[in-house]
Amino acid sequence: MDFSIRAANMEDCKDIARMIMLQVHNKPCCDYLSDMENILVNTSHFSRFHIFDCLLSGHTKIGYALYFYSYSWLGRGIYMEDLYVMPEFRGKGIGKALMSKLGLAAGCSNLKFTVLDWNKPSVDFYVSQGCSDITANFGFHCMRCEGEALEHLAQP
Amino acid sequence: MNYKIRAATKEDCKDISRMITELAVHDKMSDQVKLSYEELEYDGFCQNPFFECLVAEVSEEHKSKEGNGIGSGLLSKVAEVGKKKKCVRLQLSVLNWNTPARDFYAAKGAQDLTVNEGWHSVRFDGQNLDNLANEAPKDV
Repeated sequence: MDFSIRAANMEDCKDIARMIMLQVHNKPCCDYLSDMENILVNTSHFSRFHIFDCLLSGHTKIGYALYFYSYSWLGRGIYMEDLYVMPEFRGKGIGKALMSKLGLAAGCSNLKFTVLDWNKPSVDFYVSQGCSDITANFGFHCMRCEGEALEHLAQP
Repeated sequence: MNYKIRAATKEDCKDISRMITELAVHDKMSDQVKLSYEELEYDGFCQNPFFECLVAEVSEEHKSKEGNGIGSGLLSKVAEVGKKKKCVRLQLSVLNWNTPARDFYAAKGAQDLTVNEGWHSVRFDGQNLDNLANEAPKDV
């Protein structure tokens, strides 16, 4: 299958919003596709995150990787927030190609992301690529503060 | 105790580097630290910085080892910085054997996504990352 990968541009936000909404149909973060598109377009002005698109020959977007630069005592890192390939295009090396593109990011010594322990296809895929489960191996737990708890925390 | 929290400057990088080492020793990971203070200086204060940092400082006569709410102050300040930029989440990781830290974050209302939802943190580095990058499709 012929596909190409390139950095996303502003015009891609519509398609990326569509693909995000395909994933969150069980727990929608916003009701309308247009809201998601606006969030992407507005946030991208800050250059806080980057996206690689996957396009089929014919330029239909069928997958994306959303990432941002992170930092730790390992040095510069990449955090991959989303890796998504539409179901009908899986098993053709597209997910791997998107992730490999991230691995090239200049000067970064590590690529981090999260996976759900019950998501066997994803876990198997990542393990086959040679990654390390630092939750299982070192005991790192992912913590999140949001909503009222975050509001309360932000009080001066 | 009087303490002050402020944005880090380039001049703080030597001290931040020292404290990174102290944290790594505590986490039993000092062999993982690859960062020099010079890299911190460059990466934090170049045109497109890779990170932002807050520091807490006390005057000389107040140096002590007691708990004084400084950790809470730093965490709240990070949340405040995020709030100004309309951030909706604050995420961090904590080691499962570090009970004081786990209790601290739980008391602040943080959810443990690993326990509650099964999220695992995964990492590529070293040779595995090089192998992955070498397989990237060439730019057309």
